[in-house]
Amino acid sequence: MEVDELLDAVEQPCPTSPPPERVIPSTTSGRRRFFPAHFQDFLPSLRTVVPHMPPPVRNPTPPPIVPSPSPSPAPLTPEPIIYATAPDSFGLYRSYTTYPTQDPEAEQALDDVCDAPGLLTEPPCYSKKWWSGFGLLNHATTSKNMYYPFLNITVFRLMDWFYGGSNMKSIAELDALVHDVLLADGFDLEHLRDFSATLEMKHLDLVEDAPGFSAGNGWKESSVKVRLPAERQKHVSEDHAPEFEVSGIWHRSLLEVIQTAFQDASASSFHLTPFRLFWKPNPDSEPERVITELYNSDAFLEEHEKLQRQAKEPGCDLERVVAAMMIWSDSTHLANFGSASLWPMYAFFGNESKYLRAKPSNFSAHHFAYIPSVGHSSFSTT
Amino acid sequence: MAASGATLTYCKRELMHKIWELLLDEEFMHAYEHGIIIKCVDGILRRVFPRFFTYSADYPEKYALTKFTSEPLANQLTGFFSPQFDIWHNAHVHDVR
Repeated sequence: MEVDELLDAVEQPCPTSPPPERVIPSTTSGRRRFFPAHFQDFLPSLRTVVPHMPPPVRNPTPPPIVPSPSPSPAPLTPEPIIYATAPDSFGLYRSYTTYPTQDPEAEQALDDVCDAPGLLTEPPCYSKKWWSGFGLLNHATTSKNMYYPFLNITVFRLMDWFYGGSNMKSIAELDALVHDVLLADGFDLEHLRDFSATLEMKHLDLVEDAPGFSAGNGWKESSVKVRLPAERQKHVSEDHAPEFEVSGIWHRSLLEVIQTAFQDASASSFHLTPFRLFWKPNPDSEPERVITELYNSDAFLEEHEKLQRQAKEPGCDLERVVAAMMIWSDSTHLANFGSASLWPMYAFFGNESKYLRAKPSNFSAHHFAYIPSVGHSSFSTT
Repeated sequence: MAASGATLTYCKRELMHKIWELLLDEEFMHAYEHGIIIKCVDGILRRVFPRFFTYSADYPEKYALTKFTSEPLANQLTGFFSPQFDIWHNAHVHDVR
């Protein structure tokens, strides 16, 4: 988005003017021609941004004290100050009760929220890697050898080529073999002296510590004990029931998940101050509440306001914000055939727009636990 | 003797509960109440408070999650999740498997 555009949006009175009509050269006879309306591409306009709002009032005027005759006086709360943005071209505007310290949508363009194979979109200015969801910040340095478990770059590229694409190699893949493997920098025939595909595949199978789960990245392996009920048997109390130890639970600290997420470049799109969204199609209409995201829902607003009312930490004047965690846990089959499956627990942040969360290339999910699968074999008594 | 489906469901639920106990450790519960200071990506220090808004899970584990004993979380479960985000509390009512 251009800076000028942004300034325009700030200065424009509400609501923003419609896009200029497309001008078509007139015919030879001089008749004016119009571009057919149904060919007019409608693109959602830029949202109105926060900076045009009045600056926050530091000392709100105290409300007039009304003597309350009722025996149960309600605690007097000052009338909340409302900071509202100007409506955008849809007539939507935001209304904050806390002055936002950042406007995550100010820098956002249409390209940031759409994702489809056929769309020509600008790559995002910040791009996460697939491993970021596992807390891996230093993926390349986690093991001594970058190409682990392969010996060297040539073998790695060869195996990567073999596993990439389809099982039946095509002409395009042959091209890839030549350009990405044989002609790539660092290709060395010496690397392939003792090459054996079977052995390399075994290397893959024998990878001991999957890089995602190393202690250096905050992952811990724990075990828990579960009391087992035995059918048709009574125990004096739950403490007398046999215990079963479930080991191999990989997990990492939720606080670390929050910390990584808020420090990542993608956090610039996080809404830290919730707001109410209203729709006012024309200046005379009654504003109508619109709920589209977690950060404009009542639940978030209530929790945010509760936090602001809560006593401050001694000596701390920092802004208090909610990290809105949304948790998922479901077991996932990894193969169409066979029983390979994972039972991950992962979190998304409700501070982020659903349009961004839903974009697979954003890697917005944060994995924090893997539950070992327990089945009949584990819990069956002998 | 193989365990019945109901027993297995119970065990999975217990397991899920234990794992949440691992995750919601003392450090987390402290942060839940007092927040953690994070230098956000815009360079501003903020006190961030973790809060749970939704929980989507497979069927057998759902009930487990109403069993949290810690005070603030229990409050959140009963108050915060209802009625719009009523996912942990009263999971059986809203279950549409």
